[in-house]
Amino acid sequence: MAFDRKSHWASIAMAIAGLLLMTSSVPAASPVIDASISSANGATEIRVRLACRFEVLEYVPRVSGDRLRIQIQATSLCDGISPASMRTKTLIRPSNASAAKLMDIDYNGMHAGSQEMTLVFEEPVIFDVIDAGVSDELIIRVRDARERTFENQAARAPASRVTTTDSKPEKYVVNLSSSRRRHDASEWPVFDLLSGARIFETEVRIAEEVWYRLRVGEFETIKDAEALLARLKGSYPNAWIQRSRRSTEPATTIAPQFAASTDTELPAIGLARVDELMATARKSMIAHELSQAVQIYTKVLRVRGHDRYEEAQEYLALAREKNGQKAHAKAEYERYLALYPDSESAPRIRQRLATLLAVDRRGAGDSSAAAAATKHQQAAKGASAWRTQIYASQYYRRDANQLNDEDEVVSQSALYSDINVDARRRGKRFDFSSRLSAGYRNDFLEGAEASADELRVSYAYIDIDDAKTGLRGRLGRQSRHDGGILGRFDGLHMAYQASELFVVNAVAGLPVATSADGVDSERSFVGGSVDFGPVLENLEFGAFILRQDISGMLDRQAVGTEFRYFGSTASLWGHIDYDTEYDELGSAFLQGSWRFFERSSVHASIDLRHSPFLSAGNAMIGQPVDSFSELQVLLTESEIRSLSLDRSPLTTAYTVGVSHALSPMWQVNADANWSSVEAAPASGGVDELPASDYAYYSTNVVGTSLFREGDLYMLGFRRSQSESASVSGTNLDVRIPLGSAWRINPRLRVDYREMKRDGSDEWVLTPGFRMQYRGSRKFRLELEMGKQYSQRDMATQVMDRESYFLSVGYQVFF
Amino acid sequence: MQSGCATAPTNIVEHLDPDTGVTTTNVARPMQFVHATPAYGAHARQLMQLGVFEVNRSGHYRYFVWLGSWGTSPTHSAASHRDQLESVVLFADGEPLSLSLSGWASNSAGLTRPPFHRPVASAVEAYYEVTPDVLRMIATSTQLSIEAGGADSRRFEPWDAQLAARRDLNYFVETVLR
Repeated sequence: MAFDRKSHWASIAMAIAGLLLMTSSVPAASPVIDASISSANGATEIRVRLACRFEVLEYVPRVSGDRLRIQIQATSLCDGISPASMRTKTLIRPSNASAAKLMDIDYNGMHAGSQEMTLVFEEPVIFDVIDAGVSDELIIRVRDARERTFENQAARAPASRVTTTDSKPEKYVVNLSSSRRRHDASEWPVFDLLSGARIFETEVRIAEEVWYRLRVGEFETIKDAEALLARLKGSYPNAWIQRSRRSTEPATTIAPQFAASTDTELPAIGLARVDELMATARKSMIAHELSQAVQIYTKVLRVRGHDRYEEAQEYLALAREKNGQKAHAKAEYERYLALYPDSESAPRIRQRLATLLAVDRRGAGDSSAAAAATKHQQAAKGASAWRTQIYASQYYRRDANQLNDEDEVVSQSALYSDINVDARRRGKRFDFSSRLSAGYRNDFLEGAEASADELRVSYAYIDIDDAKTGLRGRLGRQSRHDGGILGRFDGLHMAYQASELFVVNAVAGLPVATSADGVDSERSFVGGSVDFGPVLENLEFGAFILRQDISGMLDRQAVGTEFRYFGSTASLWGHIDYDTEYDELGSAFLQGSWRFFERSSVHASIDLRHSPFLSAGNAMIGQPVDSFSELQVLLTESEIRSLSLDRSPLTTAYTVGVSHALSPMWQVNADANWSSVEAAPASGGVDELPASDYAYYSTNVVGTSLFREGDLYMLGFRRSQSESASVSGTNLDVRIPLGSAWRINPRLRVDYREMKRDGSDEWVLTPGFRMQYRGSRKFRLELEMGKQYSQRDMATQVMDRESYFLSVGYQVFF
Repeated sequence: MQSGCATAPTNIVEHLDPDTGVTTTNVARPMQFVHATPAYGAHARQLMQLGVFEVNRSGHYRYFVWLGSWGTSPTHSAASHRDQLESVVLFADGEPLSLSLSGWASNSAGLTRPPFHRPVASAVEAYYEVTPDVLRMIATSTQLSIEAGGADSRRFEPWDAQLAARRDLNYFVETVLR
């Protein structure tokens, strides 16, 4: 027996030792198995072998540089590791790396949906990424940039010569124009081409003279060519059709010569210098020094032997457009499309060109042309079919309380189902959209705690946007917070964008108190507003007027302004709403923020308002009536106005705060808030409401990305004081990402309350836990639960209370 | 330490972080969104600012959406703001774009200095890494709103026409993205 026991413990010890040994001997799974350098066929090869098979998605730059970024997508076919192990970062320097002028390989698997390898070289090199389809090995051939023969590279340049072959099957082209000089870009036609067709220029030598022919093709059938000829006869009366087999022309054609046509070519200046020029041009673009940007991009296009022509061509067009040189911009966009018709950026360039042409057609005298440009950019995408997006969520919530030894009381057990449906159809002139956002609450409680099921409609509207006139209209249940509107309403909102800086709005509707309410038939409003901005660089402001009636009587009549300023270190925004009927300030809010010493900022705000918002309808508060019209029978208008003022005391709140970043990971914040509510006098049978004050102070320290990227640790303290109680509390909030899909959030809050009315005190402890799973971009699962323990020590008894809450649900997108 | 900072006259701002050598390019003016919370007071509002920026680390480009959330009432707790920012869906012309949280401070984007200053000290910030396509969708959309929060989700609508912020966003997409 003793032997058995000894053997048993020995087995356990051996097992533990074995596990420890295994743990220490098995290296952490690395996505990169091996990286090596070798020489073959006159080039140096870098081979990187990964644990999982992968596919190369993209790499930039395409030919040369001192940094090569390769985007790959790993499959789930892995050698000895989990595919999840690819989600890591690692830095490798292969032995003999200097043979390839390689400094290191930076692997980053943390991107969503793909991984990335960045090869950093000691100096610019020419490279060739071998795309082997799905493989576990990546091969990059590297050559010294100084060996680069620009004559060979010229084949990549836009002004390249392309040799045609006689074996090409017979097709048709439309010869638009012949000239002894090259056709200028402005002479090129602009129209939708059939798939596979292109516009190009050929060079032919006739009687010792060089002729240039502007052509469109190639077409599979003569009918297609004839159809195009018929369309373009007006612009090109001498156009004719020719078979594209070039029996009568030299076997050489010239691709569009746009790059060369900018000016004479400049000799190569080195790739690093080209990169430098591109960076300078980009800075000029950002700084709005557009003429300088145009010069630099033009120069880049004239320089021989580099790989940034396409990018420079696009930006040259954009710089000219932003600089107001519409004709030049149009020509540069067309040049881009002729040179790179199948590039990734081509669809975007077509949209920009279409926008430019659309604005051009509207005429220079049209003040809203610029404003319509954005809309036309949308319209340029062409008419689309109906597109419907659905977003739905369901959450179950349960709250329960227990006092001392009494039975548990469930105060909520309900399922909240919400759906949001957006339908949209984009037309060449009209954009149509509609939205329904509604929810339903199923109450599972029975007996005295039960309440009726509830339907909530937050949004239900249709929206039409006219690109031609700049008018937009929205009809139905919607929500706005500008122009004196106080949120949700059923009605119509119209907007007219007169220019890029000026929008005129008109609105009419019936206010909706909550999304569960139907139409408030007693109240209606009508208003207008204008939005300007920006003026003085960073200042925007708007002005409004709004009139609201209730049962035929003026409920509120507001005029006001809203303004916003955003500077590089300071911001200021606010609004003023003044009621001209009451001759009273309805509300005013002003908030300013200033950043100093790079990492510190202070802010302050003032908030003045009548609460509830000043309106004649407030006179109903405390009155034994069901509707305002009943009140109108009992009281005169002046009595109603007096009562409504008494029921709408003025609330004032001041807030100041400071925030300071101790380091990139640590931050400390502090806030203080003082608010007061004026006394509401006794009137109309309603008791006086005494004045009240409330003060709130809080501070917290926040650490982020301390142990994992994206984690957060917050410890906060606060104290509040009012007439009824003083509360001191502390809370801990921890948020930790687990992998890319999970987030957990344990939290704890402890409060100590001193009740001034009965002299009692109370401790409240609230631990909680929240968890989120983001399975994909279309699905999210959430769970939140917590418990609250409180103990209130009163003069005659101790009251213990326990409660818990649970919420679990999901969001899904279709 | 004084940093090398270049401010564009309008639209977008470029900043070189001297500590890390990282260049950030961001819109000058974030968009402002609002959600009314009348239960806390007649004009109580929760606000959210949305900004976009690019991080260029030696030619390695990453793109982010920044959200800053706060409320005009002290009862809007930082924890509730964070709960909402963990579940954010941007609706760009009705297209729901579910954002994945990268972190709560600028260091999650590899920066030592935030590209946007917080509107108030109590504001909660969140950073979301996105693709250039998402930024394009945001910039070209004519209707943009933010749904934040899970069980207690709230819809934030643009404060007003946001003309300047819209222009910044469009300029950013046109000149910074390719």
